[in-house]
Amino acid sequence: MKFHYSKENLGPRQARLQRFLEILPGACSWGVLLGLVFLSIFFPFGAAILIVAFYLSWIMRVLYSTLFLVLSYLQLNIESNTDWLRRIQGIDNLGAYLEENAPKKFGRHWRQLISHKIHLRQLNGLKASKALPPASSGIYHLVIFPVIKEGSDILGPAVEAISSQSFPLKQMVIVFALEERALPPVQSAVCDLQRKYKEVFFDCFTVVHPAVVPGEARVKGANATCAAKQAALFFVNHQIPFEHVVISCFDADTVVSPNYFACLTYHFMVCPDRLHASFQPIPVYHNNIWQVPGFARVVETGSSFYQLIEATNPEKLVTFSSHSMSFKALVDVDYWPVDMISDDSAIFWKAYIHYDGQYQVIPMYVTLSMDVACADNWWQTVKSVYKQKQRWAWGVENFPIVIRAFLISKKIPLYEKLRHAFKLFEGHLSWSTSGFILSFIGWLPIIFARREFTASVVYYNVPYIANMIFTLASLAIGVTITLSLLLLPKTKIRYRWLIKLGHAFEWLMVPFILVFFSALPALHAQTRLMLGKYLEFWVTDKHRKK
Amino acid sequence: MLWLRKIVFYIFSLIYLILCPLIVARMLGFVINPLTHRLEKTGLVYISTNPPDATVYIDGRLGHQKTPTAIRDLTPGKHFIRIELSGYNDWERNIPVVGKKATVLANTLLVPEVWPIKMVSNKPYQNIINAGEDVLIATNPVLKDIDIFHTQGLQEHLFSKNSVYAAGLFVRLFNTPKSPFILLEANIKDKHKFLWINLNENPPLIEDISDLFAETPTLITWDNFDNENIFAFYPNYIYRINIKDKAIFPQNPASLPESLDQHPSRFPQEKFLINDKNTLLIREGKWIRIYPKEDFGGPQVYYIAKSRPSTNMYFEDKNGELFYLDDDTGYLFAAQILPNHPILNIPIPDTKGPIASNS
Repeated sequence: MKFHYSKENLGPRQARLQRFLEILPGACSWGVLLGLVFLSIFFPFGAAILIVAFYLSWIMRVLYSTLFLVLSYLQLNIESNTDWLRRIQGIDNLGAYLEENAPKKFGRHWRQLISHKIHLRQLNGLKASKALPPASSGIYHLVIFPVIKEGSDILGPAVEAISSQSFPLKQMVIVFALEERALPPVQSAVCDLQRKYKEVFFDCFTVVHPAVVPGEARVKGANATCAAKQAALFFVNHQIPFEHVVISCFDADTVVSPNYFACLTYHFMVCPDRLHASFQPIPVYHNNIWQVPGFARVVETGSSFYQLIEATNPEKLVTFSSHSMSFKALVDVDYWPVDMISDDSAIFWKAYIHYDGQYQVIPMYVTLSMDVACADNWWQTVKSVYKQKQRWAWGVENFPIVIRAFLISKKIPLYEKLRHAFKLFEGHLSWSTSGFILSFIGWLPIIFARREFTASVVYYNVPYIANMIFTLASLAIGVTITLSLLLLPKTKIRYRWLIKLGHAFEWLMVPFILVFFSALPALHAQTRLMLGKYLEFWVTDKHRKK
Repeated sequence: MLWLRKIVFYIFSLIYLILCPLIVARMLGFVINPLTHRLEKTGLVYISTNPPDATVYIDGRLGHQKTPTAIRDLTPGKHFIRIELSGYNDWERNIPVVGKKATVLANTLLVPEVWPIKMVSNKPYQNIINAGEDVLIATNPVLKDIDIFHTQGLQEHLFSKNSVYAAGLFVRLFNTPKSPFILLEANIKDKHKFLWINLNENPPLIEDISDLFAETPTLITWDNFDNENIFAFYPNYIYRINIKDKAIFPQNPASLPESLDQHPSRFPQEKFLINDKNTLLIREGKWIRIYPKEDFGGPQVYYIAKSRPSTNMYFEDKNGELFYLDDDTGYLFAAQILPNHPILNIPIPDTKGPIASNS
């Protein structure tokens, strides 16, 4: 479906609808919070019933998420030693490879057995689909790094990590998408890197994005789009079909694991509908994890866990942060939105609508590491983390556009529309309200209790039930702490066990983090959208000690 | 993984759909009677005791938790509750329980088998007067026999033996509840004296301000937080006396400080509402008694000790101690009425009185 994926240049009717849908999430969040406060004061019985029902749904969700967090972590662990290159070469000769490997037992370890079983299932699926991929030697990777203020200390390790890939480097093209308004030291760092890696990869070049382009906002998507358009010309000139190109748009601090592109190539090849797919790795924030305050460490580990949980549900998975996709799809949908901040999720919705629902996100159990938001001092880091979370929560800007598209689209099945719309809406609603209800509002019926309420069994039973539910939740916290310790980088640090023990205790800050670095920035973002005070792109502070 | 996720999702949804109404019903006081298989209304009894950690038996069955605790799922009607704590008398009552309601037994005072009473001083006194926070003045006719007691245990003489005032005779003592100053009226060598005494100093700082009083006032009082100005009340006028400047000013009665206590009680202090206002501590005749406020089992009276009539008693909230003069000897005694640590009631109940609707 041809759809103008933007809030700008709309007809009067669509503009009114857009504005209504912009108001809806914030209004509902405030409605829920203020409604519960109102009920707690004037109808405490009703509030207590709603709050207990919420607590119960929350704990079910926590336990459910914890279960899939563990399973997802196990799968990440299972695939950690997978020889992706060998598998890629296998797909190049699919028939013979399947015949040879189907009856074989790969290793004796349970992890190898499970990995092999998943692999065989994927190969059989590919064979059955008859949508065989191009030969791996003909697949090219385009990597775009949007740059505005990141110097060689941030960008250098990112490119270095790509140069250490197991996948052939001569099938990779690196593009630095440099903002014209970047300061001279940044520009010169990019030039140095380009020079250094020009011969290492198939090519490495810089595209300068003009400071002012009519119709564009000052957002990352505009810069990446400019670079991708130049890259498209490059592939045309080299007679490389877009169908054979996989694009990865990485934040400048993205350090990929050595097998990332081999893993990505495998998933691209094994996916029957590979031209209608994005590929989502698991983001971890290990680049500077020991250099940031404890709360920031917990916040970002929580973000990684969220992605791990989401990875188990490809039907509802939406692209997030650094990810990869078919270049053909990117060109078809006319690149990233040039006027939206949440380009990472917006590109999924844009493609989903463009292909009438025939677009999916394939989870990849491979990590890429980024920086935790970090500034010069503790308070600046607090502000930086808060602003970053607000920017993530600004993904709510997709809601009105997606709903407008769903209302117009006749080809996307109704069930799919309802499923996605509900998840999008409910996700943002619970993001901005759960923390407040769990931390404050849930206790209001008790705090504001009047004599009639204090004389009821409800008054005594609410804390009793809440206590039981929070005790259950502490089990989930225990699992989360264990996984966070397992997921931490294995780099050598002084007093490693002492520091890890300290990190375990940092999880006690979860109630505080839930409110101030999750619910509050989300509510802030929704309120801004509701009031029409649109967010401007703000580049996260990322500092690393040398 | 996707199919597993779907299966688990439906299982969890089913569990939620079943559990949620059951838990909400339970929260509202409804339980399924295992005998009749019907939904029945229940009530609960919330019990907190002073001291806490007591064992609760309801209808002869042992409760699961120590006090403070809420006993749930009780059928409407009377339930026999017994509270046991080692060293304390058992507390037994028939408590009415109403469906969907909470019967609150907040700060139930457990009476010790033997009241812990200690002798603070083995010297007889005429009276005790509370001065400032945690300070007791134990008075006697001769000034050298007046002692100061800090309720934490420290004792000292108000006047040293060598003091020029030591041989004087006690007449009256004025104080305000939170001021560290007292004003002592005494006869010293046949002269009527007014001594302004700062108890914050060690030894107490005594200043003779008799020159500021031309005649004997009926009442002297001052603001708790203003230790420079005192107000002397005479039958037809009031003076404000500035002690620092030694100056006397006529005072318009209409412009007296609002916080000034103009009518300090002339009666002995012998009645206290203690235990978060749930228990009355009172001296009736010679006997010090406590009356728990709850009325489920009819009025209950517990005897603590005998105190000299017409003397003051002092209840120290922080430590839960009652200071009094023994009736037989006039010695200063302290009885531990409440445990000397606060009770935490969770959830914080409204403890204005028994709540059950049929009580």
